[in-house]
Amino acid sequence: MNPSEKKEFRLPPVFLILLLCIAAATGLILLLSNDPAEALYYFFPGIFSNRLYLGNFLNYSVLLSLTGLGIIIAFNAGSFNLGGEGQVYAGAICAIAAALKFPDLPSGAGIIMMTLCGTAAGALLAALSGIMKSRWQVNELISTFLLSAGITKVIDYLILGPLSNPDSYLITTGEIPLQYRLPPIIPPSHFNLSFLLVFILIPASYFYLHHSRGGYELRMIGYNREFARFGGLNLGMYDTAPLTVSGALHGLTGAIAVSGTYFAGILGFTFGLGWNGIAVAMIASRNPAYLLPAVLFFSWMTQGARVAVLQSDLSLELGNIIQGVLFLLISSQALRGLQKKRDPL
Amino acid sequence: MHKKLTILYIVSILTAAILITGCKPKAVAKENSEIQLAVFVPGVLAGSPTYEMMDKGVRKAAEEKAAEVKTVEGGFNQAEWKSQIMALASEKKYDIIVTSNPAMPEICREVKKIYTDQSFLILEGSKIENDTVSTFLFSHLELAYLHGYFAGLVTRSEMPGANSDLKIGLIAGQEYPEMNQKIRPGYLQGLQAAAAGAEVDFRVIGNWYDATKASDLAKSMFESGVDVILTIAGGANQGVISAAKEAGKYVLWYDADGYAIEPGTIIGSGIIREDIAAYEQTQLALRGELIEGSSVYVGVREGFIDFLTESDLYKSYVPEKVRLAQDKVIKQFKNGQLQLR
Repeated sequence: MNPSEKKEFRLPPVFLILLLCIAAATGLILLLSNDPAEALYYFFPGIFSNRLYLGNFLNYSVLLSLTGLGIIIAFNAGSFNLGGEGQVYAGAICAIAAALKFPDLPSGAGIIMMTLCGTAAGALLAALSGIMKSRWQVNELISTFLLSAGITKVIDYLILGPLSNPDSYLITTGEIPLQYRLPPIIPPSHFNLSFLLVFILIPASYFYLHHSRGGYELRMIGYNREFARFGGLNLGMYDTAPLTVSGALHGLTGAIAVSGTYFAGILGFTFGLGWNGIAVAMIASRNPAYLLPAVLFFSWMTQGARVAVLQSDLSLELGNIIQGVLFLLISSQALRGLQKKRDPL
Repeated sequence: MHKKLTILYIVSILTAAILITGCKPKAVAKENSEIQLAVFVPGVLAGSPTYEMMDKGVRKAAEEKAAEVKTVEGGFNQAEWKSQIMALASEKKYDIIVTSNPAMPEICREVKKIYTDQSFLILEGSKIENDTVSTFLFSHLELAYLHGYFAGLVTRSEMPGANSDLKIGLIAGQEYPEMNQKIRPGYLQGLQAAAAGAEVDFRVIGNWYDATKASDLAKSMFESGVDVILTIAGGANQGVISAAKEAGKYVLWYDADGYAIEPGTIIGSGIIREDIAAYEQTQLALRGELIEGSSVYVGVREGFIDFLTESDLYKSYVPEKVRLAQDKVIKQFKNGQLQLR
């Protein structure tokens, strides 16, 4: 596998998908909007027109990078983590529970506590699937998804019941203490210091996967399980650990979403981060090096759709339809790309 | 291969350039028009009559002054509402943002802290001390009382769906302060006035859309002797109706004319005149007379709340004896003999 050769063959199809996405969005807007010029303006360049939109776009990119990275790491080891939604949600609710339980710590300690609790919750949830996979060959595709679906109901119950804030008209938990909130860099958006994590974790993952022995073994299992077994690799470890790390990154995302963006757990507030993480991992063709551009593209599309729905005549449903079409395009094309890539090895 | 790549890049860059430059003028032109109002619907318009009434009222007032109205649907994800309101305010082009929902004041107050020049009018909102947003509140105590009174009359009556148990039901999408402090007590108070000793079976769905769960809850309530249910559960109301229809029992429709939705099953309907409230308040705002932080609290007497007794469906399904008794209590509210705030 010569890296430069790989690049040449892989970039064009991804680019085509992205172009197709833009074309599809443009086409749908032209078709469905009565004032397409305005809708297009808000959909594409609109998010750069205003500090709030720009900050929200960047902030969403940070969250999406972390879930996307989680998916990529599991992908590389041949594990599909479909439980991202539940893991993010679990991470978030544990961070909130910890913050509400110990509201009087100093700022730094509180944020670290929330982050650790969130990360641990996500990791634990995914580790269960990993252990089931290595012990009893339970398909992680199904176990992560089912666990996530189940835990989501439990968390909904917690928000509705024990953790609910009776003084609010929203279905929400209480707010975390003021000193536990990450200060915004581009107010009034919630873009905050957590973006540094992206610049640490993405390069770290890239070097681990592509320039370390462990990463090589991990990817080998992803490419060809039988070959890896024949080579004497510890399959059990590589079935569990990457999934756990994947879950940890999702939990971390949940914790950051709480301390940096939402400050309270409104019912279903992290929805979308898990599935969209899979979409960006697919655009990035499971390589951390391509993750950031993929995230920026996807985040641009989703935030653009949101702004267009708010400011132009695109209705909520049309906005969702456009996002759905993009998701479909991305998943179908990228899957084909992955398939092609797997065969020759 | 290389040629193809280059072409792709060029095409994509061109597309991007066209998109970014090509569609700007329109947005700039927009800012020149005079008064602009925004209506934020925390949910969707279709199928929620109260939001439709609000939209209608604002538009009517705006039309008279040739103001432009932009209606935005926020969807059911409550976590999004704040960032959506924030985005609307960030455009700095709306003279006032009108919305309706008890949860909106807390959200708008937060946004107001950042965009201090933005005015808000919130129907169904309660005031706080030194409020920064204008609120307009309807007396749910009175509306719930009317429903409770009517339900008491029905459960005592000889109507085909009524049984001998003095038990009525209330299904809510979620528990929220208004529900616990106004609607439930008002409903119970009205019931006691009509049928002393009767009890209310109160159930919560946990969201505003799960019609299946609502149907299950309603079924179990009917089995336990409830004969009429007041349902306040948004999209999930449909489940209550289907369960009631199946069991031959009755449903009360809370705050918009519901008789035509399921004739014979929905036998009582209240109304909150959000359209009038939105119309009058928007007029005030357009004249520049809506004071920031103002609050209004109205009920049956002012004409903003009523129990609908003129519908032919109501007259054909509800016995005269019940109707006369209900008319009497409505009248007491209208002339001020009874007032609950």
